[in-house]
Amino acid sequence: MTHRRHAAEEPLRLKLEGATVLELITGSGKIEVVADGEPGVVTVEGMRPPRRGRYRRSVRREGKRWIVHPRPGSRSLRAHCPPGLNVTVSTRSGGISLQGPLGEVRAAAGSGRIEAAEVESLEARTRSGRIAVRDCEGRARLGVVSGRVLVERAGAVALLAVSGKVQLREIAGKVEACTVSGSVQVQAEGEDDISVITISGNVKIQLPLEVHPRVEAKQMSGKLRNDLPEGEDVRLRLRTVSGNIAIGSV
Amino acid sequence: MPEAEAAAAVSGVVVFTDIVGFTEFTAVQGDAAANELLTAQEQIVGEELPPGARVVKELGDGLMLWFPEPDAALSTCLTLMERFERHSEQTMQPLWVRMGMHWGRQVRRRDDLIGHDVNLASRIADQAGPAELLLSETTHACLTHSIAADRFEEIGPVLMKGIPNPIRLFRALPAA
Repeated sequence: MTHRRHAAEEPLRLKLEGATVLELITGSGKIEVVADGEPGVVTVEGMRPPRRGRYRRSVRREGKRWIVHPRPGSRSLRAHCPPGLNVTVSTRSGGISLQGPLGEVRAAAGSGRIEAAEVESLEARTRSGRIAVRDCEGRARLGVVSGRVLVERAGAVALLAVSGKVQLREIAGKVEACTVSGSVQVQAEGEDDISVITISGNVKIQLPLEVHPRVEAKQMSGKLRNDLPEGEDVRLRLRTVSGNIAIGSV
Repeated sequence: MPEAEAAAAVSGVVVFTDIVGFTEFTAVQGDAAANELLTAQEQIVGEELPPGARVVKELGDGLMLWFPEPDAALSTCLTLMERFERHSEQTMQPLWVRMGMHWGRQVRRRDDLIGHDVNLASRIADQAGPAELLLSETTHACLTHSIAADRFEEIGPVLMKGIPNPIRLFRALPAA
């Protein structure tokens, strides 16, 4: 049996049985995933009680994926899953909160903020809303049209943004950030290359004092200030049309 | 399907493109620079479009393109991305083009193409960031194996405005 019969208010209970991905989709509503569940089982709160004891179209298994997509209508969903599970979530409007430790995570919100803590890797995009990442062990690949981005710690970051302030802190590896407007601040460990491209945003790069970067900056207008001695430790590829660039120590 | 509609229906790949930050660039650099940017885009696209493909229409700083089959559409768009990036690097003109691609059925309306699959391609382009090429799962499934699997990253299901069901999207990466 893949999923159990439910009474009203009782959470949906799914046995993973070899599934490696939990996929939650809702038309409109908040999605929360917390990795505090028991091994091999996922519970999902917020589902409408099933008709005749079975979820027909709303819950299905496709290969290694469990897909939960309440239909018709929109629901806020809260899932509890075992630590380390790969999770994919999508909502048209509504916030997304992901509390790890989780595996590979994909999150898409039409509008609404995305918060992720303790994930192995992250692919997150929202058209309007803030993205906040507390700890991403691998690469965080982020896309935002309008909204702030804050990454407190990540293995690497690839960011495509249009407007909104971007703050990337404690980045161990490669940084690639492309924004139209909005300032970009990068605090990196200086272990890998950093590339920041903006049209009108100001760029601030902070590296450990002992790191001597090779600065490749191009600007059409705007000022460049580099307080670090140049060297070959790491490559900084910085492009702005009209923004200022400042490079200094952490 | 009505007979007239069936006669006008075609199958192919619709690609929407859009220059990200064009408004900001124009505000900062002026109209002449903006015009140069559009000319550069026009020239590069004109040089790279394969036989059978066409520019359906211009949409401000964006384009609607049509290709008869998915492999040529993808390889052309990846080439366009590379050439746009090279142009941006060499000239400091930010030709940051985002693209959305979807294979499906379209209905001819004079020189234009319309239909649900056209709208979907447009919505996919809306999801893309600067210099990003996204394609639908349908398009991805239609590709032969001429392009290596490691040049795609799955984004997952995305719910888009006006489209009732989530569409699973993939990102196509330029050659390393």
